[in-house]
Amino acid sequence: MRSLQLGEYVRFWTQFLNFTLYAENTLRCAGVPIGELFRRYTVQHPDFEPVGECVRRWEAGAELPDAWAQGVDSLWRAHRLPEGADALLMEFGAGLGTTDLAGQLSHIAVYRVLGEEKRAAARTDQAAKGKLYPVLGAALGLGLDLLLL
Amino acid sequence: MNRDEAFAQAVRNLTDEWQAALMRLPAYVRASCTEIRLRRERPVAVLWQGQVQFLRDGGRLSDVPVSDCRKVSAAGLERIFQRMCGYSVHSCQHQICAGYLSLPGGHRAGLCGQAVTEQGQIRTVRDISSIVLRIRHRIPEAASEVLRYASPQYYRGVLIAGPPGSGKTTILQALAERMSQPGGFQTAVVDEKGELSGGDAAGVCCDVLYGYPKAEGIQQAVRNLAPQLLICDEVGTQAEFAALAEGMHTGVRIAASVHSDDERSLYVRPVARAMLNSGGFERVVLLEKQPGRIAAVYRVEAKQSEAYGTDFTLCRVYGVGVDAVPAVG
Repeated sequence: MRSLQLGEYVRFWTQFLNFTLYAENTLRCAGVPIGELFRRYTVQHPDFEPVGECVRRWEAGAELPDAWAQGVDSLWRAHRLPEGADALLMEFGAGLGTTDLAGQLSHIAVYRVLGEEKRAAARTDQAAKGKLYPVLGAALGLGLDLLLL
Repeated sequence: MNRDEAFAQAVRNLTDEWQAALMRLPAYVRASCTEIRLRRERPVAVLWQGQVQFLRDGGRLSDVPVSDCRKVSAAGLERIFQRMCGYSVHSCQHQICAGYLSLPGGHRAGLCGQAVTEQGQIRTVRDISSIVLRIRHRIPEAASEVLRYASPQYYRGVLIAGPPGSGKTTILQALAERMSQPGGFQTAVVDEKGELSGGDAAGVCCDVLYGYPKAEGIQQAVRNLAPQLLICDEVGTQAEFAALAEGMHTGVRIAASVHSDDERSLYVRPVARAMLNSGGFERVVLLEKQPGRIAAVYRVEAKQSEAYGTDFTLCRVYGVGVDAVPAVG
């Protein structure tokens, strides 16, 4: 179970990095408003929950920054975000749309670097513990079997 | 949309707190309100029927700032600014650098803050200190009086002149709507600030170049859209006039507006003078400070003015001291 979760974390950070790439390209080429950017991304990639959740709340009438913050918070509470993701996503969302284009591109670049660090850490964790947990599970199962026999 | 609805639509661009405060104003104030001025840590001013009053608690107004006047905080003003930008400052950069934001419905926010410059050019504006929310009122009948004396149907160039707040844009809006109906003209509206059309075409035969810088928009309209009538608000620079001049004498009728206080300023203000010297305008409508009221209508004669050294003379055909009988058609 835990090893599966480690895989999920790696996948989450990969999704985040993909989103930052998409955001950077779309802002650079089309300069679309942030709400529209989120909406377009959700249509193409409905599996990245923070953006989808934000769009749902925004379309229900919340202000965009509030929708983002509430969305991240609710996913965090529901344990659907990896450790450290909530703070990083909150800060990332708070900076979106608040500056000119050059500022936005810099902001996204900074969070891509931070996201890459998180993914690297998650991969290291997965490599180190991903095999450990199944082995421990198997050993525990074997021990139990022997005990019962 | 009536005037009260226009007010409600305009204040929806503010935060919930300020929407609620302003919607408590009496209905007759909301219906005649033309501007709301929000200044950092200063009382909020409401301009209605030409008078400025300050907003107090419970939607009451005061002629002078008093202790219970509502003030907008620095954080509140920043939040309003972000909301007006659709939480996307980068999407409005051109407008912010030009000192305004176009809002849904054709309303406009004038901005004031600290300019960030690079090589003498404004790159952005930060620390917003004032926002002037100008409420757009659509008044289709506003053009009727202008059309009586200066219809683009009869004159190939009509210039609407007046001081700020005199209703130039409202009249041009109404002209666009009236002239672009079936049987009228194929009309192109160069709407840099989104005030003329509110982002939508006024009539069925109207093409709107929304958000284009004026000079660029005029050139593109003339070259690509083959309009019969070109409408452009607030021609204020030589570059804009130069673009407009390209369209003159090519069969395109033009209705444009300039800032001008009185007859004299039409002779002396460089852009107004250049426009009238070009021979492209046949009628000038000068507005009073009171919104939508005509002070005078002039025929532009190709005759040297000795007093001002221009190639044109303004001959009053309507208003106090008429020089000639109005000629329509």
